[in-house]
Amino acid sequence: MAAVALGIWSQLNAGLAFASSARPMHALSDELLPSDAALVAAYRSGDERAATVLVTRHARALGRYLYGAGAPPASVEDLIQETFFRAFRALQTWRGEASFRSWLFRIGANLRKDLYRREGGRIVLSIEDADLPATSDPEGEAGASEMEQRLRDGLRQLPRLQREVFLLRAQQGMEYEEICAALGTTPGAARVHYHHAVKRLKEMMG
Amino acid sequence: MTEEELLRVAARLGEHAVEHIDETKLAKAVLARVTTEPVIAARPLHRRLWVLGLAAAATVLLVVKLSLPGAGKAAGAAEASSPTVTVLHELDDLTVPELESVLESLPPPAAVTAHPESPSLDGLDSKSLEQLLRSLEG
Repeated sequence: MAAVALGIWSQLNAGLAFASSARPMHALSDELLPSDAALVAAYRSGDERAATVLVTRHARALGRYLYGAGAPPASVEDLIQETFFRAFRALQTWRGEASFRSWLFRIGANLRKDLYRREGGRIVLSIEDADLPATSDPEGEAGASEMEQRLRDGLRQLPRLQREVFLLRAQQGMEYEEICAALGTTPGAARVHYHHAVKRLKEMMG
Repeated sequence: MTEEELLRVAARLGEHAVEHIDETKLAKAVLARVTTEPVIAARPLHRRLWVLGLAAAATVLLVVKLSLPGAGKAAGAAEASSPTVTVLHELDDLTVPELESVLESLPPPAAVTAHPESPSLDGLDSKSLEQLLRSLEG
């Protein structure tokens, strides 16, 4: 079933470039797009095209999330690749409680945290609440606008949950239910984290 | 800055960081790794817990055994008693003069040397000598 849907979808999209947003192919009807769950099932049945579609669908959104969460620009692509590699290796552990995307983001966030621990271990900061280096990377930030850079600097100063809830909501457009499933928190707590994050970022960005 | 402006900036955050990414190439690289890199089998959780519990139990046992009063003495006594038994078995085949020479080769115990009027061993039979040896060797 999933393979059939994937085949139809592949034919429909032949020759089309993939969109880069988290929700690509808005022009196509939702019924024609195989869900992430269907793609995962197809890949687990041996259809590698399904994995390619999953990567295409989520890679850029994942990269933007990792960048917003503090990954150095030079490491973003490597982190995306490593995230998908680990996700595909551990597909049997994804049971659909959280969306595939939020599960993927969780893996990516943990990898970014590990990267920071390895490369910035000498900086004494709480991994839980302030796990980002205090200095920015001027060379890597060359492409960011001034406002974007200020936002990234502000995000660095937020506690981890406030930062992640804000990114999942404001950058990725996730609903609170999806955010809760991704971060293992409650909708009420997620709302509080989000509002604290917005308040503090507005203050910091003047 | 208003909330709307903040959200507008947030929605675009990181676009430049991913604009160069070729998803098709990325997918190929990921799939190649999944196919070629060996899976490192992690030990099941229950097995790891079992090993951890076993190690903890062994540690506790060792600590308790070493911290018991007299544990060292008991071990020492056991070591001391074993050679005594062996020596006495070897003495079984010795004649009286041989036993006397063995006895003379042993350092005199403090209790014997302290007694100025210790009786001669000449009048003792083999059974008495053996009893004396036993008493000397504790």
